[in-house]
Amino acid sequence: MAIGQGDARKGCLATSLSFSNCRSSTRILGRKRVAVSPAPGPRSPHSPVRTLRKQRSVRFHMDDAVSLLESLPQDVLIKVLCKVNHSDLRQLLLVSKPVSEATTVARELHFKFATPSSKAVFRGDEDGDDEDGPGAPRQRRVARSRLRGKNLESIAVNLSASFESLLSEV
Amino acid sequence: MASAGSGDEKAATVTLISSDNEHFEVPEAVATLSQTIRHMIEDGCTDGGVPLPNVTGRILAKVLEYCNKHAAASDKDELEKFDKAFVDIDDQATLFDLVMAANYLDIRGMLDLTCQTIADMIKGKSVEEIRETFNIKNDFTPEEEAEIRRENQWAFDD
Repeated sequence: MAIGQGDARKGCLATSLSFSNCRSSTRILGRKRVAVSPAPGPRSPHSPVRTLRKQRSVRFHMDDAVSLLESLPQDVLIKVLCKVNHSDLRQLLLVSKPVSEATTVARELHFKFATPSSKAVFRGDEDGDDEDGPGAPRQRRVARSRLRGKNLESIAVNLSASFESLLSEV
Repeated sequence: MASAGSGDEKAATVTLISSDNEHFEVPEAVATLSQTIRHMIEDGCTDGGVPLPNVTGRILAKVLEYCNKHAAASDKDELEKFDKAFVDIDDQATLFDLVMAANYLDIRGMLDLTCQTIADMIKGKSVEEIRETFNIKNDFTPEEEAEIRRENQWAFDD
């Protein structure tokens, strides 16, 4: 089968990815077949140079290996992430920046169409089983008064006292 | 060479041309599983074949395998079995190529199938495991990571 330009690159990458099994005697580099002797020992003055050059180029390909997931266009990535479980979204937010962005969008879509399944574990709950019988999750979203525990003397004024003093002045 | 589909012949066909110049003559009933191709046929611009510069011959052959099977509209269980075998691919690159092709050609069933397959590769994994599976580099600083954890604690609190 003739190998076109596009295929040759793919062939290279595929070869480099399976480099660990090097058993066959030929590799395809670019458009040429390069014979590689499986034994590393030099048989002739030329083969070590050729082997070295090949190893270097293969290593270059492996370092260059991209993440296929990240090379997806964002709308496709979001489609994929819409199909994971809700609990997986948490992990995905921390994987990398592009994945995190797509996850944020997918998460909103998740909330629109699916209810997350309830978890039995309460975060930060050292007490284990609570006094509350039914074991409802703690609501931390209730607004707490900002004035709790604050010393109000500096800002509070006794209105009746000041009113009286006002009246007496008049 | 075979001409592209015109309605007068027995069964209308359309010629699809991959990026590496492979020609595939396909019955319209099969090709129209792709919304992209369906619109082109409806608009009458398929004379001389439809070039698909984003899809190689190898991937297009697989796509047509899917379309042929699903156009024949057989038994649901049989289709399920076929789909399962279709995405049983060791090579991640091929799977991603199929996702991209399904997206480009707008083949809903195949897109759902391949996306679900990738999603299944993510399910249940930890952050590190996900990175390893897909060869992703962590580009967060420790501070950024900590902030994300903090910001999202309430969202995952149930």
